[in-house]
Amino acid sequence: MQSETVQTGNFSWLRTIIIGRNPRLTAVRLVVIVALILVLRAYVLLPIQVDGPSMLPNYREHSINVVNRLAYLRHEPQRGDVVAIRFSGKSIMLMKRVVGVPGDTVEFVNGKLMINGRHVDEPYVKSGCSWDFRPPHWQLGDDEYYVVGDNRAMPYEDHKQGAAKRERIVGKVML
Amino acid sequence: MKIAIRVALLAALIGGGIWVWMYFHPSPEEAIRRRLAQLAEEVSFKSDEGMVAKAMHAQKLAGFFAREVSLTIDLPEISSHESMSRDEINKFALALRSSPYFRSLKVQCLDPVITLGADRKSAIVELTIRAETAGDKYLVVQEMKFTMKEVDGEWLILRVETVKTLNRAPTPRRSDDPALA
Repeated sequence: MQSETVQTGNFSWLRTIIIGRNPRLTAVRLVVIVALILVLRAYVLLPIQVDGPSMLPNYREHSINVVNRLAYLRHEPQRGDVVAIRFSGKSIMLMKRVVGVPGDTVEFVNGKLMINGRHVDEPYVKSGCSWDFRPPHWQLGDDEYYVVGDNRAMPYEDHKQGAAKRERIVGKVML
Repeated sequence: MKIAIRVALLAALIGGGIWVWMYFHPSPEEAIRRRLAQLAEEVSFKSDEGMVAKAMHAQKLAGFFAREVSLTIDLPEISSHESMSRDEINKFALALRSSPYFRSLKVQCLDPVITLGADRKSAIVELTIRAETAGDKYLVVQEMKFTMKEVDGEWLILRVETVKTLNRAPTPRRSDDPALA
């Protein structure tokens, strides 16, 4: 009989920890938290896993990051922002750095980034580069952003880069 | 309490009925999604596939396409426009499956965005193809556009085009580029 009392006492303590003193309130809290997480996941924060070497060494392969989908509600993407770019949907996205904004001309001369004919310092680029890319008379359109990865040690041909339409930019990478 | 249980049972019955109806009478969008999933399965193969299975899957794959398919590839490294018959697709699929370079292939058709025509018998489908072989990761991630048409209850692919996710400037020709002149 005594042992039964002890068991009930233990269960009551455990129950208080798991579902609280007021189960209804706990249930409401749980529903609110789950709804909040679902809304955040769907409309605000998009978790991503980095795959591929194009953003090395700043973003390592298989690292986890978060895309803020509301980052560009009040302003447009800026040079230096790391953004997520969608394909037909958001199952797989490109993670790149914005180096050119609408109206810019973008070139790589002897591995150096040139925006509107002027050399731009890129402290986030740690590797040497020998890219030479000088498209004549090519200017970014009103809704185009030039994006490129930080790993410039990759061969130019193997490195996905180019002008992304604004509608394809899902958000800003946060971490 | 009895009424609540009856109402719940009735709701479950109605829900189940709707689900069964929709499974056997899918909307054009759902039919296209299923077709793309089947296409991905048919393109994919494992290393232990026998010759008979290879031939069977290659033939089945050709059945996903119209008699004459238009292919437009516009990538930085390759650009071409050509037509392929079902027979050519069959041969190509068989050659791919028999290639010593591809021991296995896993293809996925991701994020299809379906735009139905006014007649609901034709559709433009934008999707992302992800293909990987054993050993290599992300052999290809490419955005594509399929033009599809419903023929005798089956959605067939009429046209296949690549989509440029990022637009690269045209590679300068020697005569265009003052630096190279």
